[in-house]
Amino acid sequence: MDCKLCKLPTPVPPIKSGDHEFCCIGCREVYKHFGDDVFVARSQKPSAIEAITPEGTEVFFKIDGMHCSSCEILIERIAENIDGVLSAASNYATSTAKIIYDRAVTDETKLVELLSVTGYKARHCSDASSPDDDNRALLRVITATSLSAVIMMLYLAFFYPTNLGLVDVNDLKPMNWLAFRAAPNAMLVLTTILVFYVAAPIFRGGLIGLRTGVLNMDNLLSIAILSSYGYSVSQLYAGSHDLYFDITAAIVTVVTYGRYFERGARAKATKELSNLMQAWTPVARIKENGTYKQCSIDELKPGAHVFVLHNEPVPVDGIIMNGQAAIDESLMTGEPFPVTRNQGDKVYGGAVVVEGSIEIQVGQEIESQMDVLAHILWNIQSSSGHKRGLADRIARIFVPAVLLLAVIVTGGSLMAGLTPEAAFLSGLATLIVSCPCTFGLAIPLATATGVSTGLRRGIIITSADTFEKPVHFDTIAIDKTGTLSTGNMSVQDIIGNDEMIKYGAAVERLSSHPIAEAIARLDHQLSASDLTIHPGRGAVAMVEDRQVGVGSRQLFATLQWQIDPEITASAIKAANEAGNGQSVISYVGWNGQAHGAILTRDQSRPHWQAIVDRLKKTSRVALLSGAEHASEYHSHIDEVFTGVPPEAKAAVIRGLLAKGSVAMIGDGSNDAPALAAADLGIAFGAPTVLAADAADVIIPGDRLEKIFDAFEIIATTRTRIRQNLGWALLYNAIAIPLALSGHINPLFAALAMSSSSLLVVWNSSRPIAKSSLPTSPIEPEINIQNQIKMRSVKV
Amino acid sequence: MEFTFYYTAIVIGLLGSTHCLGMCGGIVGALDVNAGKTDQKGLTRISRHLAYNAGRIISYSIAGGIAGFIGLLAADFSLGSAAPFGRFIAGLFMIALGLYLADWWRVLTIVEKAGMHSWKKIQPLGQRFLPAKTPMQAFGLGLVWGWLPCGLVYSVLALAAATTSPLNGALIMFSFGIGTLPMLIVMGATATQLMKLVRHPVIRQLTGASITLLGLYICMTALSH
Repeated sequence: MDCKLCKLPTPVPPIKSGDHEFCCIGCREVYKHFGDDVFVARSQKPSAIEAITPEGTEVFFKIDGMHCSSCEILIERIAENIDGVLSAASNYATSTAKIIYDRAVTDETKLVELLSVTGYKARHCSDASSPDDDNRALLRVITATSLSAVIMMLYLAFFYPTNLGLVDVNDLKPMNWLAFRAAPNAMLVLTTILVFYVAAPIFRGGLIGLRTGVLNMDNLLSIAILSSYGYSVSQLYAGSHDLYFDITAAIVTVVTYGRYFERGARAKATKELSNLMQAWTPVARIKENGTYKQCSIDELKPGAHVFVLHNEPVPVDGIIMNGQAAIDESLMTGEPFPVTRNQGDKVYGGAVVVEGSIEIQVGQEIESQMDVLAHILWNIQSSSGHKRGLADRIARIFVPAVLLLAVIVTGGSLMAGLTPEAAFLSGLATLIVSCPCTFGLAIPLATATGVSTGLRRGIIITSADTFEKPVHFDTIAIDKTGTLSTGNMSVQDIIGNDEMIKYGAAVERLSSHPIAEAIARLDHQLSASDLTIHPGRGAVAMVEDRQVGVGSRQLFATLQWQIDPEITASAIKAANEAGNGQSVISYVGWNGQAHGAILTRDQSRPHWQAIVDRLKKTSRVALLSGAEHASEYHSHIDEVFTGVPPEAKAAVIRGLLAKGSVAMIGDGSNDAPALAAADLGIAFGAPTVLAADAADVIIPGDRLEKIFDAFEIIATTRTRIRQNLGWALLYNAIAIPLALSGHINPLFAALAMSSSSLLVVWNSSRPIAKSSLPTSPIEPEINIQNQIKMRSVKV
Repeated sequence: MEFTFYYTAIVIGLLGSTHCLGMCGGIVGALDVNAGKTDQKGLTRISRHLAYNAGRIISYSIAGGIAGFIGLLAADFSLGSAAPFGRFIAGLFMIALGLYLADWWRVLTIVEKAGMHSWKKIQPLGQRFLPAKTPMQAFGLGLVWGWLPCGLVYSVLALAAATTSPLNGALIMFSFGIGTLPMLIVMGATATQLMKLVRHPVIRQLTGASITLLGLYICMTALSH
């Protein structure tokens, strides 16, 4: 045994206190004195902290004033020092922070206040950014431009001609006062303004770097600016004509410009999300004692009826009880056309009623698709992606290394007998030319653009890691129900009486399975409670004090309920009449026996052949189906796995993984394990939290062809990240040796460094082209729900 | 002679403290937990740790002074003949410590148990300083915890007694305390890696063996007088 406290071996017999064993009296006394705190402290070493996911309330903030990746570290550190904060993560590219806090200790308002320190300003994610900040940044750019223009003119008139040897210094004698007194002092004043006003954010960044112990570009720039400025000032008072105010001005101006554009690019990359959140402040209208009143979502009770009028957003997910409306679901699905939703259809919180008005009933869980969506998105945007790995590590050692190089080169040049000016200039150039920011920007900005582009096209990328995944797959596995088929089951045949239909519909209304949704549409009179879902088999719930089960033969076997062979016979007969074996039989029963059966059938997604053909150009296509037969798909698909229950799908994927890389496309809830098992999981359908956890990409709505767009976005972003990193390495590998050897002057160095950053910013933020592969002409969706009206009911 | 003693005390502190890393790390960690989230700023935290260690070292020095005084009394009563004897005892203590650290023979546990009597009287005082949020409280806690029954401390106390001078005894214990500082301060930063290293049996046996040899050397010098 090892000592509970210090892990050294214990003697035999060990020294005990309570249940714990210690190696020595000392350790035992420490434990007796401090209690369990001593173990807590031991386990809370940095490596362990990340593994613990604390339980708490999650909140997202926009943080103004973040301008480098050191800020991520500082913000996280500030947040974690606040009482009640359990964990914090932040992302510089999106200026977002995620805080998990203990509601008993603190609240959001306090957090906003406590986070708004050292130049940061936190605000709720739904608050608009303050235009002040934009104006201030612009004012800095304008000041920098105009002041450096004046400084450059003075240099052109009085300094460059003599520096370059075009004019002899003695020729300036006639305008002695102007050239040696007025011009240098004017430049001193102008440069001072540049250094202390325009460059203030750079110094602030430098201080943040110092505070966090992770040096950044701002540290290098601050040293360069201050040393060139200080050197020039001392030269000025020494009466020398060798002044480097031009270099100071150039660094400040070029960097300020670069930052301004970078800021714009970052704002653009996160605009989608900001717009999305600002529009979302839901209020529910309910009927109470005959009058309508508005209330917040939190006040709603399960099963409440909510009324949504023309031009209003649907506040929560629910099922239409009354009315019919055209609904714009573009926020959830990226689908630009409004769709018609009728009584019995599901509507999502966050969709907007464009025409008509509806009364909806909320389910057991009061949730809104919009909140789920927002949660998923904020999560991606606020995590800085700790897997940045290499780039992050490079950036961390990069700055100290450059500083060291600059010192060595300056000292070396001096010792080698160069003039102090030459030594100073090559040291300065080394500081300025190196560009660690390209490393810092390379991944986060490209990722933010990828996520944002996806969002605009109705594709949700759930984690930054997705962009690090391969884009070619040996096998693409597709789930049948809900993916290759529409998943909109329709009732084909009914064996049984009205009572059976009523009961069946009541139970199924609580479940979200496609079959359940079809059956639920049959009737709206009764309501059920105490639902138990048997995954892949069916559901059981209480209706009018009866336990009613709806589901497959296996469900009834599990419950040990009887199925009358007559019902089975007529169900199979009806299924066979339909032909191709796609029908699903759901038995409905209570009091220990089946009272009837409902046959539902699935429909192939329109144009599925075209989509499969396109996938087959690059990969083998496999189909996974829970049904026993999938005959109509055989001809098109390379490999068909039938009769795979939901829990076995992951195993099938693992089998495929043994042969090569696999992408899985399936629905986010039933296929979650399979999606998680695959190299790339694409969840098709509603963006649920479960789907976001399991899948790398979520495609809401019913446009399967969007997977190509998703592939395109991932591939392009991945290419860009690599280009950026490649460029950063190449640039620094060439520029730093040149600067060290004194071939680059500081002015050019400042330009080169800023252009390099801007190149990366531009490359990351340029729009991603739409999938270039030929697309099949796909018409706007056919409203399958309408077909339910044509159902035949046999009693 | 005294120089050898100081040197030995520092070495014991330096090597021996690897043994206590887990334990003292627990105390230091508990200080942080006690202080809660609010007081984790770098400066407060460091000054709290420093204050704790300062308290501990002051207690050691006082104990060293007392031990030196006892040594002086013994030497006076025996008219000087006890001095080499005291050094020999100190050497034996160090050998025992070395064997203990190497986990070869835990004879020193007996002495630790004997120390429990006084510790039981002192320990409740420590409760007053809990939770140790301010550096002053941490200092007080250090003062109390300096008296923890610890084989390491007792061995060096034997050395302090062997100097037969309260002042030298106090200085010996002070040197020992200083010797323990590097490990305990470094441990805040790189705890996990360091812990793995010092827990390694080879490292522990090497440490133990070196201290045993030091003890043997002191015994031999005592005999040769």
